[in-house]
Amino acid sequence: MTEKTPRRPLEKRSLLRDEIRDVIQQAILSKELKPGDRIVETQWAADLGVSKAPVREAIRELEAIGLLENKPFQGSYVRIITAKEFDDAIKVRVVLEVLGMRQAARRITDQQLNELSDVLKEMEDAAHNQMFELYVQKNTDFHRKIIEAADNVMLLNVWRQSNISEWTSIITKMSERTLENLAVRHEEMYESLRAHDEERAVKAVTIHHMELIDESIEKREKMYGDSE
Amino acid sequence: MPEEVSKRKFLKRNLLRDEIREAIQEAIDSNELNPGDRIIETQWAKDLGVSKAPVREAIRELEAMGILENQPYQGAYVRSPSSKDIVDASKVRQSLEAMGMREAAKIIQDSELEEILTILHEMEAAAQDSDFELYIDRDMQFHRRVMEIANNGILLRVWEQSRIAQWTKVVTKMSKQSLEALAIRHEAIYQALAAHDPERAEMAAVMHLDELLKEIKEH
Repeated sequence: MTEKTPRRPLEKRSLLRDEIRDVIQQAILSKELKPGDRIVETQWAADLGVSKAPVREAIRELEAIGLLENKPFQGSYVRIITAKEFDDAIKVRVVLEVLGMRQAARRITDQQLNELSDVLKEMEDAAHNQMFELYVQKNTDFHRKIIEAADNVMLLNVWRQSNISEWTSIITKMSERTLENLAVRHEEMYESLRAHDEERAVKAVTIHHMELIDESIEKREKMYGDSE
Repeated sequence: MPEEVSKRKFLKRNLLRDEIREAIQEAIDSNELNPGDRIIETQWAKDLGVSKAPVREAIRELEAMGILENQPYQGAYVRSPSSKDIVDASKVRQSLEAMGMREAAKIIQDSELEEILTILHEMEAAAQDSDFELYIDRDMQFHRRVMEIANNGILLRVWEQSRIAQWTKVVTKMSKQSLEALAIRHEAIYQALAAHDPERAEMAAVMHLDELLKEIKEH
């Protein structure tokens, strides 16, 4: 067991490897694990009460996202995400979500709008109650639901594969602005979709991302700025 | 069972199921597997020297992606892309490549411009000779180089993983335009890059695909 955060055996809510990934990711974002720290598969497996296989998968996913790097014959280490990588990721996200909003504005069904509205409300509630983890989860759901409403299989595949939702949660987790601030942006995105107004939808998501880019620069500096 | 997809040593540090998924996708892209062909789990497992579990996961992933479809009690089959699939995929491609063109226009070096020009000439030569395969190859290479030059690792990875370049073949085949007319579109892109004009490069990329999209819709 590590000193700071005792690892509890995980419950089987969703895919085991996803849960493990989230735990390791959280340890990195909370600075419990620092750039250069090694991720020891067997130790994590023992602490979490799981076998090595899902831990290995979680590690590989974190490598794909860029939070970890694999040094041949040495193992996996926490790495610094460069400012450029942040920038790159957000730029790609904007492009995909602009397309998503365009197509969703045309194709979103009433049912999907209602579901989106529900998620938005849950996001706002989580923000209001300062329930951070829940807020992050709902935020990701919100963006994913829009991509799904675009009804474009290739877009959904690409969006998933780019780990955009991972980046979303990483950036959100690093944000220190009040959560309510963050939830409000999504109102306009929702309203534009309900109005089936393509141009308004594109504008809303573009502004959302401009704000996100500013924040992410700050947050990245905060994350690595004072590291030894 | 495809001959080309032999047992590969999985040297890359990737998830097995992703490797298997890519192997199946390659078999489809290279026409070794065609729409209607069945993906036999046990055969793939045997040929690749892996257990059935990761093959099954790879198949599920491909079903989720719309590349395979599951027929109850029969298994997984290669799906034919519908017009909608092709239009939708082209829109994603358009968005990613527009971004790539824009970024590339800002930073492209002279040596890189020369490379692009060479590829363009090879494309035009292939068009004149009505060499479809070579044309496609050069077309894909043209786009790939631009995406690399754009210097955004995530953009490149996303573009490659979605195998958008492979759509080139499908869409070009469907186009009624001559290869020469298609090659000319790339000339416009090259000029915009050479002028270091991001707006123009983006527009050239968008128009290039818009024309193709129009044709697909009319199909």
